[in-house]
Amino acid sequence: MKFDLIPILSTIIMATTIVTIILAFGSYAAYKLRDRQRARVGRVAADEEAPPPVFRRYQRGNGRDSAVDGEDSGR
Amino acid sequence: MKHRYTIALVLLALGLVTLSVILHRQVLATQFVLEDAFVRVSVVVLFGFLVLLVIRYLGLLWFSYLDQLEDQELPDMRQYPMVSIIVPCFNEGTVVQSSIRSLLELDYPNYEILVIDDGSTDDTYRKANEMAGRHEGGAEVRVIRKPNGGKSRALNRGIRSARGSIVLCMDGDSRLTPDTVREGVKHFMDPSIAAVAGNVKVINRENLISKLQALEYIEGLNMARKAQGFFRMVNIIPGPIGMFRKSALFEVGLYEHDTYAEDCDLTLKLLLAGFKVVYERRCVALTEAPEELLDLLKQRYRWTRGILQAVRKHSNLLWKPFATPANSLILWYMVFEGLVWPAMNIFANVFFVIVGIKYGMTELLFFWWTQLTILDIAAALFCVAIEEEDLRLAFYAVYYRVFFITVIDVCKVMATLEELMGTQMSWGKLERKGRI
Repeated sequence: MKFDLIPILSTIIMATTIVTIILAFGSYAAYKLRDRQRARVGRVAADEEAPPPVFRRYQRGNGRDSAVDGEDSGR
Repeated sequence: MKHRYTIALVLLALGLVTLSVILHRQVLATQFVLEDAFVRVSVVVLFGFLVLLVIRYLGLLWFSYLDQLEDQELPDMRQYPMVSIIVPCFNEGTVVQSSIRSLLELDYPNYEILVIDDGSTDDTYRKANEMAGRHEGGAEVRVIRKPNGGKSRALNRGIRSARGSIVLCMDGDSRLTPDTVREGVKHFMDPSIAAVAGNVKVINRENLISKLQALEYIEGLNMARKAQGFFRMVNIIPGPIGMFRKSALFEVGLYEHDTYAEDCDLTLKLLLAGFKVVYERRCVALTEAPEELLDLLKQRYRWTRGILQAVRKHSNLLWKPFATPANSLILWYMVFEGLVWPAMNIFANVFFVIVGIKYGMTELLFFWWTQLTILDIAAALFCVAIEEEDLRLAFYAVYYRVFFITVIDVCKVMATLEELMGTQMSWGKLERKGRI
């Protein structure tokens, strides 16, 4: 019984490790791919929603200071 | 009964550690034929690293245990300072009302809830606003709307508007248990304490990935925090639950926007300024963990790069071990946990697979893996006992070692490389299933 099981267990662990390493790199690649696709979709949507770059009506003083945080509704 | 249960589990954990040491001796006694110089050097490096890991585990367990011995409920306060709970929200329309409702059930006599709508494009503001005003029990809900600028700016806006001397920062999609504020506030009786890191638990234990994260939060994150808490040097106050002395926050300059781990950056600033940060296991925040593998990787990618950014920001202190030993130690610990440990884990796995295929020596991998799994199970049992958690979680430590940690470590290593190369990244909001 002196460590007879070790070669079998070692082989199982090795096979599992190889599969996990492949899975780890594969899932990382899949995550990056999905992230890139989402970013592209987001950019396209933003471009479609954006107003045309020319013929935009000039509005005097329409830009709000981004430092102003806005409304406080505490009633 | 609970006490006996804890002692039994601690003894079991000690037994596992002993078994681990025996295995270690077995590896030393095994005759390996290693002719390749690279292989020889690698084995020596990995063996040294394994010793370091065992010391790390034992150290964390020991200091967690010491912290547990010191851990006793602090006496109730005569006067309750006002606490401002800051809830930053971005497109949380589906959960914001239930979130506020749960906060109104907190067992604390003097607090306000500040909902910061960070430029949501859904109905978050309208829904939060419906609950604004003073409620039964005395808590007041205020809703502040600001242009979208990220979580750190939303939290800063809340801190500036807070009426309390203590602020509790949380995530919009987390829940606090009723005792959280009462237990956390007691620590601020000590004027040297600037912040209290809470105990984050995963609420959605629905599938293998979320169960593994539940274990990871208990073992990996809370055990480290508990050990650091013994030294009053917790290095990351978690986003879902952190309590701060408002004056200390102003002294170090609030949250900054130049990293993706604003909570880690702020904690480092507090520690480096000489403040103490403790861990309170009774301050519990329930959070929803990602249930999909890719969402989990997205979260870990951001955490890794954010922590690296925070460490790089303060990297000058890495090289001043004699001038500021405590600060230098904290930063080196973070470098070890964030960089060295994941890289060595991947290297070890790949190396043992190569050695197994090339020389047919699969035993090395077996011993490596068994050793780490035993340590994981021992740590898991200890932490589950202390946290009075579901005992079944401890046995997920096997899956944790087989699958989870390798996947996470590959993501961490890749995120580190991309951070060093300066690859662009975005915050990205995690898709929640709304299980809270």
